[in-house]
Parts: sequence; structure tokens; C-alpha cells
Amino acid sequence: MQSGTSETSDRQIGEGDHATLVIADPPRASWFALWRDDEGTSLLDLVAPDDHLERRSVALNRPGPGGTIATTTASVRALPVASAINELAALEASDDVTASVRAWSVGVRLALDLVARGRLLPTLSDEGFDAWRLDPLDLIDRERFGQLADALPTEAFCIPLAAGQPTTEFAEPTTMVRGLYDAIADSMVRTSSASAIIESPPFADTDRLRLPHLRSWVDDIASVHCAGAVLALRVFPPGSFDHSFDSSLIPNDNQGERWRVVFQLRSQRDPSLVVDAGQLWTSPREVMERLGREVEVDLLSGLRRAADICPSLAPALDRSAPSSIDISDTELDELLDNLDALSAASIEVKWPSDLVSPTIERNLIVSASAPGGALPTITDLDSLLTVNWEFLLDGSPLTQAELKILGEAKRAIVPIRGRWVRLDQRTRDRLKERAPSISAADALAAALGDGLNMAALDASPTGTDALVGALNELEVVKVEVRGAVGDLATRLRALTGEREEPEPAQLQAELRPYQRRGLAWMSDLCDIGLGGCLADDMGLGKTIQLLSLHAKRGGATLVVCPTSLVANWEREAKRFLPGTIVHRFHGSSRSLGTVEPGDLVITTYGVVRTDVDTLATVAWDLVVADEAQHAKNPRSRTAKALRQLPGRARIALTGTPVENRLSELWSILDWAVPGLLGPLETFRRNTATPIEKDGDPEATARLASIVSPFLLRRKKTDPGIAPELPPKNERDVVVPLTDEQVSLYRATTEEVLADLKDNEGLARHGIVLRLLTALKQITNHPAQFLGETEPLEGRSGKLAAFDGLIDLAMSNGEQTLVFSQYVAMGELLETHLAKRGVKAAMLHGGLSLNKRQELVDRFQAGTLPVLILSLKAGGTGLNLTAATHVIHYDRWWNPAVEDQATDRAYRIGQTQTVSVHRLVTEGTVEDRVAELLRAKRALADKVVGGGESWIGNLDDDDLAALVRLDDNTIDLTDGDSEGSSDASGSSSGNPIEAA
Amino acid sequence: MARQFGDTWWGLAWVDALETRADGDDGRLARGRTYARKGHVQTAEVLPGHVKAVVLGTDDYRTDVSVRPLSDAQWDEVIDLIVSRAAHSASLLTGELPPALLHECEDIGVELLPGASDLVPDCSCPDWGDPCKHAAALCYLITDLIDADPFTVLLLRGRSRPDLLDEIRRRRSDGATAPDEATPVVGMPAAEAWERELGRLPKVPVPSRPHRPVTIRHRPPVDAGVNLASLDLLATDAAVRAWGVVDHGASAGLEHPPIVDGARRAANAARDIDLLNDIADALDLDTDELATLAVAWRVGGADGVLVASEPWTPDPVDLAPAKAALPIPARSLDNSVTNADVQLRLDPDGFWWRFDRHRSLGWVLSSQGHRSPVEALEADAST
Repeated sequence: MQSGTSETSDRQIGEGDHATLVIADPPRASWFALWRDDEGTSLLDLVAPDDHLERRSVALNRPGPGGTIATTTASVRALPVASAINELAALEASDDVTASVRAWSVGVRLALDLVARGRLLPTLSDEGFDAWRLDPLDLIDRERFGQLADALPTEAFCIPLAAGQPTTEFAEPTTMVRGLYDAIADSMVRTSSASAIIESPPFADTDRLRLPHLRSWVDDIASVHCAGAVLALRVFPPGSFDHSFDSSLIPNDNQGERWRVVFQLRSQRDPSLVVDAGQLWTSPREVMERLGREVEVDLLSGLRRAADICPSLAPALDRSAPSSIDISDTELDELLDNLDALSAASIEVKWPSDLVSPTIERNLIVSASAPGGALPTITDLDSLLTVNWEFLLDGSPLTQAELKILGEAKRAIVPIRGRWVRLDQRTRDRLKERAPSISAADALAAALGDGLNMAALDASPTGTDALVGALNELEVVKVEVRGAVGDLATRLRALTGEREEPEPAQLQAELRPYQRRGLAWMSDLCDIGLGGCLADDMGLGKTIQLLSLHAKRGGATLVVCPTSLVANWEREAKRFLPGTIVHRFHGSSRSLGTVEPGDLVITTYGVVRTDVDTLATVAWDLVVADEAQHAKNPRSRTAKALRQLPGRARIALTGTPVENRLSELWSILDWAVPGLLGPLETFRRNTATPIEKDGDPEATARLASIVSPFLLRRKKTDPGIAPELPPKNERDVVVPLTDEQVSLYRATTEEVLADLKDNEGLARHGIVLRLLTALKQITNHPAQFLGETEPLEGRSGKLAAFDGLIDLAMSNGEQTLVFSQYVAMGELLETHLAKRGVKAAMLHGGLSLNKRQELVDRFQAGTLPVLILSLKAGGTGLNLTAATHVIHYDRWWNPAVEDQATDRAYRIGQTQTVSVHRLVTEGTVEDRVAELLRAKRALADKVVGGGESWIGNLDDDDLAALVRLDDNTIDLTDGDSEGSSDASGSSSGNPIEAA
Repeated sequence: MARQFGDTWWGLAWVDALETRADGDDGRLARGRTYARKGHVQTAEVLPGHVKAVVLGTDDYRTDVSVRPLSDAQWDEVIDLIVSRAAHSASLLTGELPPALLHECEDIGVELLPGASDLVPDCSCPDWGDPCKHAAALCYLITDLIDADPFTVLLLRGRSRPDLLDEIRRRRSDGATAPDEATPVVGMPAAEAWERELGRLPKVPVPSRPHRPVTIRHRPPVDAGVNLASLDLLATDAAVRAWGVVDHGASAGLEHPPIVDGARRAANAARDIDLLNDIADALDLDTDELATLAVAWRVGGADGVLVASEPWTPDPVDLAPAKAALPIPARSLDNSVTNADVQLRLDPDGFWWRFDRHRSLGWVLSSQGHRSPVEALEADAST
């Protein structure tokens, strides 16, 4: 639905590019030098990114052949840091990039995190230009900074420092990371209208301004905010308790009733170095040596900030040499209440870990089932359950008496079980807090995923932040689910997918073992009353498994699918379940009629969107969403309408690898099991981003446990499946014609059939063959018939289906061979694929042997996803075993020739199962010839030797019957998908699935 | 009402000291006040112990006011006072002059603020009055300087801020001198760099929401063209954008042309009328036009703003689908096709956008871009 160029779609960094940071002054002028290992070698196999970047010469020091490290001048592509921000921030864990690019991606995101937290300070660069810097950094930020520097690959900074040194040296990684941070800070502030709006260029304009008179001002800022040492407040409890700090015994000479706060200084450069403030006053020189000359400023300004935040600390500043201060319980509470503010002011607070329990933990007990005690099903997954909190201290539950003490306590710190428990406002609130609303879906997810992420329940973006030292960790609460939902979870976990269910009697086919297992799984899930997603690879027979499920259940089933699949569903249903009433609810003159149990109704996403009220009047037993990724945008009308359809069970079908596309997964499962994965916003933040960006193992594991009862996916390459599959899986893919094709087809047939009457013999034979050629070209694509080369989109049903098959193959990382008997059609397809950004090449007679071999090599190596071949000019002996998909765009009406060309010539199906798709236009001559060839084997044998000329021998009536166009064509522009593009970029994407 | 002098505590204290200890010479001071109000004092320069200026009168006069400095012994006492309380040192170090200091100094008999009798004027004007009205005017204008930087008071009394801080430091650390500067940074030898073992990349957090920038207390020099409120505005906007990038993959926004950037800022400006006016001025628009662009940003992002603000001339053939989609009669102009209160516009990438006529703002974007005009017309505003 968005227009044209998406802002992040132009990739500037190619797969093999290394990125070396070049730090400039001012920081915003810094840039990445992009270069490849094989610079200067063959460009054939390289992906050339959209190249509008400047080229510069830079001296790089790299290992060369033979292991020697040498400095050479390289021609690199220059990518300014400001222009790289979007692309580097969007990098996913699964993207194929070099280590240096990945490291800079992490650096960019860390820098953006700091910018988002407001850590921006104006400064002057070394040369006196105005700039922004990323400061102040908290302790945890410095830790991350250090980790990044330690993990920074050498390619990221391999530019030698000044020439003329005895040994080649690079800048330290810490300097480079700091350079990146400041480049990001300096760039992010300066948007194009910033300077004009504040009517003042300094710190806003991208132009360079030398402002030396600001030097002392920025130095003042730096001295306050960018300390060499940070203030730490170490808290000692009243002296009556024995305790230890961390693991070492620190003597506590606090014998009083009050809490003592001791001031300490921690070095920024060496965080393990901590010094008591008192030492600063007694041996200042020693302390300055270790913590820097500004240490006194750091301490005093730190104390000032601390006192601003916690006035109870202010009396310390009344003395000349403050080293500690004693405070009361209430004052300590105020201190602990302000930990966030203190942390933001770069002040740490530490207290003895074994003495004060920072927090009381809590578990959720979900105890009751839905009203009535029955298991929740799709329709009542949103019902709310009875929930109680259970509070724990050190892992054991608090008794009622203890809770009473805590609830009534007025003090900020309460002694319980020999420890001090802090009752900050948040803990008090929590003790009084009512348990949150948990729906059955939430409880189910918690039971399956072993815990509930509290932030997932909170609709507002702020969520609950944990205490100091646990920035950005969200609370995951243990949940004990009792009652019906608990039973449900147990039952779901037992669905291992190993049981086999024999095919129902009505099915006119035998199911393979893995299909019986699929049937059993779906059947069990539907019996439980929930939904699921069958995500088998293309070619494994999702349709037939589903038809078996329908037959077994015997209820009324509604199949929702893309327009171009309607004909396929109908044919398969009629073929495998001949006794079942199958009805299409589609087309401008559609009507639903009465739907009885056992009926199968097929409709499209477009119709669901407009006629949901009509469809909702039927009490469907099973609702099926085929190619479920069509409704992946949950806010679209289609998705909303789909959710309104009633049904005792819901099954989604898809051939794309949903486990890799979490937003699609969410959409599909949210329909099948409403509420299971929570709202999209929180899912994205708490699950999708940690998994996709960081490869977070915990989030991945939790998601897998929640989702696995509801998702079944088998791949062709699975060890249990592969042996059960034949080497070739063939089917006809029946597609509709567009209006343009229909009118061309009709016009041509009428004209020529009329012409025929006046001709005989050879002349007639010739006319008939020319007619057939014309009709073949029309059904292929009007452009081929009319001799045009564009436009191509939206004019041919075959092309739409073709796009869908290519997309499906590519999303699974598989390679495709495309056959056509017309070189012209092959060239149109090559152009079309190139426009869609799909790498494809055509192999035809006009190519030299060398060139042909090169294409074959590329295909076999996996760098060419699609290879187009002309049936006639193909040749023999080429090895194309890397193909797992074959598309016959048009047919050679002589099956033996066809098979020979494809199998023996190309040795397909020898190493892996291949899916063969033959595109056939519905209701046309192609359709009928295909039917003929299939049904009448005798006729097929007769034509083996003779090519296609047998058609020329048909008489007028037979011929007319053959070429007649059925009225049952479908309007391709029904508008299945809401909006113009899905992930693959196809604008009329109606993907087809092979059974 | 005539302008009052003194905006800060110190400024007011200065004026108070001036007027209270004037030894009854109200008339001269009053004339000086008038002169100062009229803006006759130009280019004042502050040095330890005196202030120089050019004052415009019948002619341009060079005026100088000398301030009797505190003696070394008095300074010693002041510094002792400062050192005795960490709070004072802390304040001075962060650029503030605590008012309490004034009273504490008074308690030990040191007047930080000079009164009229501590000021010795010298002026090139022919007026023999003491002080002449020019010098009196200058005394009042010193208030402005003090408002901008209270340390001016101490400078007039003989100590610059850096010197003062140095002395305070020395006194506090009992003569300990700071160690030498850290050793110069060396690089990492290339061989070592290539052979070293790499650690693991750190995990990146996602902040739950954007934060306000750090508060800067130090005032920038006057006339530097730097305004703290503006810097805060820019930094806050950067924080919001940065959060958008890491939270949900929004764009950092650096590639937008000024009109898009301005529309984005306007959309996020809530009710800040001043900011909206500033943005409108910067883009040379009136506020209504800016409002429509802000809506365009919310509905259609950068592309929405561009189609709402930049007309262009497509091939008339390309407008035909819109004409077919709208009821007759539909009129076309540049890249738009209009019927009554509905308008469809074509953008250079071939997408159609729907605009509706607003009663006061004119044409307002109401849909995202669609490939077909029919879809644009039917689009749910909520998608």
C-alpha cells in the first residue's frame, strides 16, 4: 500500500563487501570504505549493488596471497556514515554479510540506543568544528563499548596510521568505535530543516563552522558530563547485622541505627578500580594518578547531581571533605526510589546483596478454567480466567502472616526472615496489585512457553523496567496453569505428529505415511477445537491431506484461496472426493445457496472481504485459508473479514517457510488460534526483534514451544519424507485468462473457423496449424501474440501463476527450470524476471558452447536461481540436477517428446525430488488437449511419432469443439491481496501451490 | 513601564548594591539609568578590575569604570570560605555562583558586590560630573553582563573564573600537583591486529521509549548564536527518530528534503505553537499549509508529503484511469484529477493518492498510495 520506492530498499552494501571506517573531522563527515576481497577479478558472478557511490582511493593493509600482510592502495566505494544508518540498523541475523559489516551494524544500533536515551552533548572537534558527541555513557554502555571493540574485525579498521612508521599500525579499536558513535551522534541531529527552523547554523547545519570561542563552554560541559570517574554510593545497613558485600567481607564500622552511604569513585577506563572518596582527601596525589586529574571535579559534580535528585544527601556537601553520610530508613527509601534518575546521572548505588533483597518475586497462579469448565476453543480463547499472585522471597512463598507484615509496614525497609526487604513503592504496589487480566490464550501461551512476559500484557509501550543493573530486561513471570487450560496445554504437548490416520473411505487415492500423519495431526487439533497451520513444502500434498480431513469430519467446509487456485481446488476435490458436493462461490453472479454438512465451498479472499456477512450465516465446521500469507496484514479488511468467519476449526495452509518470517507467522497463528501470540506490537518488540536482530536463544526457544503444537511443517528433504516421494511430482496448474486474452482468443477462433470452410487439403491443414499456434501464443501472453515486448504485467493468467511459482520456489531457496517452446516467450520471461529483480538467464541455440556451459555452471553452483530453456533448441547432455522445480510454460502436445526433453536431457530428478508444474489455461484448447492426452492413452500412443500434426487431421466439428472457449473463465483482477505488494514485490501475486 | 534592570539574583543584587550605597547621589544614577535604557551603551568589555565601553551621546565617548579589587588577603578569606564547603566548590565547578556565598562573605566582612563608592569612573566626555551620566549608564549595563555570567562580579573584583578555580583546586589538594598527562595514544600493530582473537559481539538493548536529552546547565557565550532550548529541541527530535529506527525499523530521516523533514516535525509538534510557526517560517509556508503537510506525513509518510506539495505534469494518458474512476465531470490539472470534493493525484512512481477537501485547509491527503485509482478511492483510512 505504500508507494514506490521504499526508503530501505536500495541496498548499498553488497554481500561480499567489507566496511572500513574512515574517521573524519567533523565526525559527521566520517565514511565507510567498501571493498571486496576479489577486487579486480571477474565481475560476472558479483551482485552489483545500485552504484551511485563515489569512488575513492584509500591505503588498506590486508593479508594477501601467501599470507603476507601488505599495504596497497585500493579503489573503494565511499558510503557516508549518515547514509548507512538505515541499512546497517536493518541488518538481520540471517543476512549474509561480512563480519566487519555485521560489527558496524551492532555499533550503529548501540549508538542509536544511546541517541534514543538522550545522550547527546554539543562539543567542538579537534579542528574546532561544531559537532555532537555521544555522552554520557553508563557503566553498562561502557561494557558494551568495550565488548564491541574487542569483537571488531580487523577489516573494519585496517587503515594504516601515518606513513613513515617503522611498523604499520592501526588506530585502536576503541578509538574506532568512539569514532562511529560520534559520527552517528553528529549526523542524527542534523536533518535538512533543522538549521532553518532554529534559525541558527551551529550544531544544526551540515556545513562546517569553526567556532573556537565556544571551546571553554564545551569543555565545561564535558567536565561535568563526561567524567573520568563515576560516583558510586555504597550503602551499609545498621550495624546490627552480619553480612558481606558481594563475596568479600568488607568491615562495617557502622554501629548506629542509621544507614550509612559511603561515597566511592569508580574509574571509567578500568571499571574494576574503585576508591573511597575519603582517600581522595587524605592522599589526593595518589588518587589523581589512578583516576585522572579531574577526579575531584567528578566527585563534587557527582555529589551535586546526587543531592539534586535525593535531597537527603545534600548535608554531605556542607562539609569540606565529604566521604560518607548517615541516613534514615525513609531517606534510604527515597534513594532507592530514585535509582533510575541516579543511573541517568551516571551514579551507581550498591548495597550488600545478601542482606537486602531487591525485589519480591511473584508467580501467577491461573487456577480456573473458562466458565463451565470446558476446554477453551477458538471462539472463547479471549475469555478471562481467574488469576492470583503468589509472592516469593528467595524462592519460597510468603505466608499470609508475612504478607500481612509487609502490607501493613510503614517503614521503607522491613526485616523478614533475617533479611532486610525493601518495600519500595513498586513492591508495595505489587503486593496490592490485582492480578492482570489473563485470557485463555495468554494462559495457554504461558503454559506452553513456560512463563509469561509481563510486558507482553501491557498495552502501553513503557512496560515495567527492572532495577538498576538490569536495564532493558523485561520481567518474565512464572505461571502455574491449573484447570482446563492446563489440561489443554498437556493435550497439546502430546500432539507429536507421529500418529497416522488412515485415509477415509471416500478418498479416491492412497495417502503416503507422512500424509496420514498430517491428517491425524490436523484431525486431533480440530477435535480439540483449535486451529493450526500446515506448512509442508510445495509438492507434498497439502490439498489432498486437507480433502481427507474434510471427508473425515463430514461437516461443511469453506476453502478460501487466491483466485487463480479456485479451479485447482475444484478439480482436485472432484477428482479425489467424487461423491462430495463442491461449489464455487465466486464471480459476479455468485450465490451461496443452502450449504449442507459434507459440502465443500470454494471462495476467494476478495469475495470474503466483500461478502463476509453472507458467508457468516453458515455454521461452518472447518474454515481453510489456503496460501494464508495473503491475509498477513492484520489491519486489512481481508484479514478482519477472515476472522469474522465462524467455524469450529480453522486450518491455514502455506508453502512458505513461516518460521523464518515472524510477522507472517504471527498473522497466520493469530487467525488460527486467536490471541495466542498476543498483540502484534508487543510480539514484534518482545519476540520478533530479539530473534531476528540478535538471534536471542531464549526468545527463540520460548516461541518454538508456544508455536510447535500448532504448526506442522515437513520439507521434501526431511529424512522421513524423501524416500517416500517419487523423483518427479507432476501436475497441471490450471489458470484463468484475462479479459484481453479472452477477446483475442474468441476473435481469432471465430475468424479462422469461418475461413476454414472454404479450404481443403494442405491449405486447410496449414490454416489449422496456424490457428493453433496463434491460440497457444495468446494463452501464453498477448504480448507474444502481438509481437510486443511490454507491458507484461496483468495481461496473462499464466504469467501471474508463473510469478507465484517462482516466488514460492525462491522463498524456499530452490532453483527452477522454465521450458517454453517459443524463444520469444522465453525472452519475455527473462525480461520480466529481470524487472522483478530475479536473476534469470535464457539458454538457447544462439549461444556459444562456452556461454552455455557457463550458464549451466552458474545454475549448478546455485548462483542462478532460474534458468529458461527453449524445448526445441535445448540440446542434450546438460547436467541441471540442481533444479527442484520445473515449469512448463506451454506444452508440446506430444508427451513422449516432452518427457524426453526434460528428463533424459537434463537428468532431472536424479538427486532430489522435483516438482513439475505445467501451466494450462482453463477452458481453452490447451485444457482440452491436456485432458485428451491424459484420458486417452491410445490416442497418445498414436501420436508418438508424428509431432503435433495429428490435430490437422481433425474434421471441422471436432476441431471447433477442441478450440471452443468455455464461459467459465475467471476475472484475474479480482483483487485477492490487499494492496499492491507482498514481500516478493509481485504486484499481482497469486501464487500457485502444487499438490 | 520603563525597563527594569536585573533578571537574575546576582543582577538584582548588583543593582541593589549600586543604588543603596550611592551616597545619596540619586540624580546622577537616575540619568545614567535613562541613558542605559535608551540603549546608548555599546560594546562593553570586561577586564579584571574594570569595564570599558563606548557610549553614544552628543558624540561617541569612551567610558571606563574601574572597580576597586579585593585585596589578596580578602581573596584568601573568600577562597577559604569556598573550600570549606564542598557545595560551593561543586557549584563553582558546574558554572554557578551560589547566592549563599554573598551572605557568607558579608559575615566575614568581605563585600563581594561593589557599591557606588567602589566604582571609579573615567569618561572622555566633557561633563565634569562624578559620575557622568555615561559612566552611570555603564554601571547599569553591567547588570546585563552579570545576568549573562555572574562570575563577572568576581572578575570585576579581581579574579577570573579559571584562576579562581585553579586556586580552589590547589587549596583543596594541599598543594598536590596533578600527574602528567596520560601517555600518548599508540596504535595497534598491524600484525597483532590481524592475529588477535575476536570476542563476541555485545547484545543490543531496545529502549522502551525515547528519553529527554541530558540537561546542560552551562550557558553558552552571548552572541555565539547558540540557544540551549533550540539544542534541546534538536536533540529530542534526534532521540525520537533514533528510537524509531531501533524499535520498528523506521527511517533515521536524514535523507528527507526540508519540506518532508519539516512536515514530520510539525506532525510531532503537538500543540507547540511557537515551534509550528518556526517550522512554517523556515519552509516559507503559512501554518495552514504546514498543517496539511503534517497530515500528509501521518497518512502517507515522505511520499505523501511530496505528492501533497509538489505538482508536476504527467502524460495526460496516465491521468485517464482516474478520470474513469471518478464520477463525471472530473477535471484535471497538473497531476490531479478532481470531482467536487474528492481529488486523486498521481505521483511520479505511478501511485494514486486520494485527497479530500477540508473546509478550511483545502486539499488534505486521506489515503496511502495505491496502484489503481479505484483502490485509492475505496481505501480504508484505517489501513
